[in-house]
Amino acid sequence: MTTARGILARSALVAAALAGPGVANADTGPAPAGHAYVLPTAGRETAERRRMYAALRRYVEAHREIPAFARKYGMKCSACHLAVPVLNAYGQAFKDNGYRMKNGTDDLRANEPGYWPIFAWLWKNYEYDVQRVGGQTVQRVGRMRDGAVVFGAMGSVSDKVSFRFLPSVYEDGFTFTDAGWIRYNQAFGTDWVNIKVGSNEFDLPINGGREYNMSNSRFAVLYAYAVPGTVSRFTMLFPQPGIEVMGHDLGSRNRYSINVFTAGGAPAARCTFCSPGVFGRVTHRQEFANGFLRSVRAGLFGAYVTWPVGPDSSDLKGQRRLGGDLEFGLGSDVLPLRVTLMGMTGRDDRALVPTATQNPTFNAGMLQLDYVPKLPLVFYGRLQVIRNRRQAIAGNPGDFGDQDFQLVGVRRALELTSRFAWVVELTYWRQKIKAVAPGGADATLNSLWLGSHLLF
Amino acid sequence: MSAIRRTVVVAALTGGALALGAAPLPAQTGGGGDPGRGRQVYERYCVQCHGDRADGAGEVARWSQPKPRDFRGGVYKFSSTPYGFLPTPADLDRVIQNGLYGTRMPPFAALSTRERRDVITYLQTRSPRWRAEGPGKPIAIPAEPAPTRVAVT
Repeated sequence: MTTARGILARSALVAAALAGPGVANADTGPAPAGHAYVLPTAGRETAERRRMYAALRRYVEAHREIPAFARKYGMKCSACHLAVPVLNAYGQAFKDNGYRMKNGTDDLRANEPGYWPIFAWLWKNYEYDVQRVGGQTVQRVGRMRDGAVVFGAMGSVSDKVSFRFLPSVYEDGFTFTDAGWIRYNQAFGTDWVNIKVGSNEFDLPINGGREYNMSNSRFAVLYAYAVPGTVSRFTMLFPQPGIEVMGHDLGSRNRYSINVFTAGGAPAARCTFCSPGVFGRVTHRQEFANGFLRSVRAGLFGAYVTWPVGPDSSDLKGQRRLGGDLEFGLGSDVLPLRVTLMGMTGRDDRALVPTATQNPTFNAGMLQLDYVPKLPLVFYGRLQVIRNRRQAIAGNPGDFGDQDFQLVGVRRALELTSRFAWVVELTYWRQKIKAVAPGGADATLNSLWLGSHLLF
Repeated sequence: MSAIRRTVVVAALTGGALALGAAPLPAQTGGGGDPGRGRQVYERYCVQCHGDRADGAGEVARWSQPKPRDFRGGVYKFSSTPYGFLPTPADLDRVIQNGLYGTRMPPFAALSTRERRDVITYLQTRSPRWRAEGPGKPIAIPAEPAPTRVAVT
């Protein structure tokens, strides 16, 4: 019986791995492992739509640089971004302040009457994928992906109120609205208490929205990783509906954030916090006067979230994530070699995996290097491993579902002004999921990605 | 699994070694910055308003009121020194850190002390005044008089 369940789970994982980006981990993805992959036509269309939706969300998350701010404050994108879209210390402080400079120009009344906090970006990209199972190539496909336009709004309307709202329109007419929120700045008159209500992104060490090709390259899977066979579709990567309280000191050298939320997409939601969860993170940044080491940022984070199971979805079962991170700035304050290390451990309740015999646990780690030799050119690379420490189904191979990622890329802004940006990017990545194919073979995906986007 | 543990240990040791070899920045900015690095800081944060030639004629200067400072003249408004004298590095650092509320000059408190020091040194290369004369002596502000009966009548 256990063997049959294992085969079923493997088949689903293989299908998910080969079906396309992020299917196995998208919070709106198709049925999780444990269900048959062969879907009726209507089911396929639904799965395809969900997959596209998940890909769209990841793309929006990954391209959140906002020329609207550059227009409002008259600064170049590079003032806040180490290189678009990665924030530097100044950009992090701007974000922590609720998209405010705090120089008296944040209030809309301090701006020209014609100013409106709306921005737009367009994108188009080409992707070539080679999928291999057990060393055999099963598919080669190159395609021009559908482009999209986003008319977004985010910023501050006054010293006290900031907001974010991002509707997107895809080339084929598909539309969706990315999560949005309203924030009350400096509650009680202090930077240490800012309250945000809405669908809030988590303050992750490596944020899908602010890393080079983070989401497109499926590296979001580190946060979105789901143990084989789980019914939970919770992911730290995507914004979750709830309340965030965050605070920081002057310059954002010390920061904290606490999110209380309900797991987005949980079935049979009966009330606002029916699948409650909590996420928290603290960070400290230290700068140094001498030597090659310019700055170190250290952080700790953790999350505990529940997901409903049972016939009436009333039985809540928990998932736990704990991690730490270190970021080193080397060589230069302005154009550093940035080294980021992150480790994370996860534990799920076995009730989340219908056929489980024990609580599954896993470890994940990541190393990222990026270097900006001269603006607007940036090189980057990323390694990531996910290791299942304890399988939910005891009979599964020890490395069942383990994942390895490697990525290299180069990004260049052809135009970068206070009014618009035009960016092109070339990335290659490789993703391997172990022992998921029949016979215990590995499934591998190699991708070459060329993208271009225009922001104004 | 063991590979991850090894990675974490190596990372911790590397971070510790690097941190031990570096000294935390002092709170106050003095002179002695690197103008080359300061130019990089300037190009990232300042050039849009103050211009590539530090002449206050950056791309968005036309929309700024009051106009951005022209550093070529060596004339500054916010200074602890007597009128006509150059400001101290601490005066410039204060403006950079705190910004100028009500103008387009934002606070750059998130910049490291070294970045601020470097950009101040770079700005000091933009005007010949800095080579010909040093900053003035700050005006000493005496303590507030005691609120005695004599003082208020």
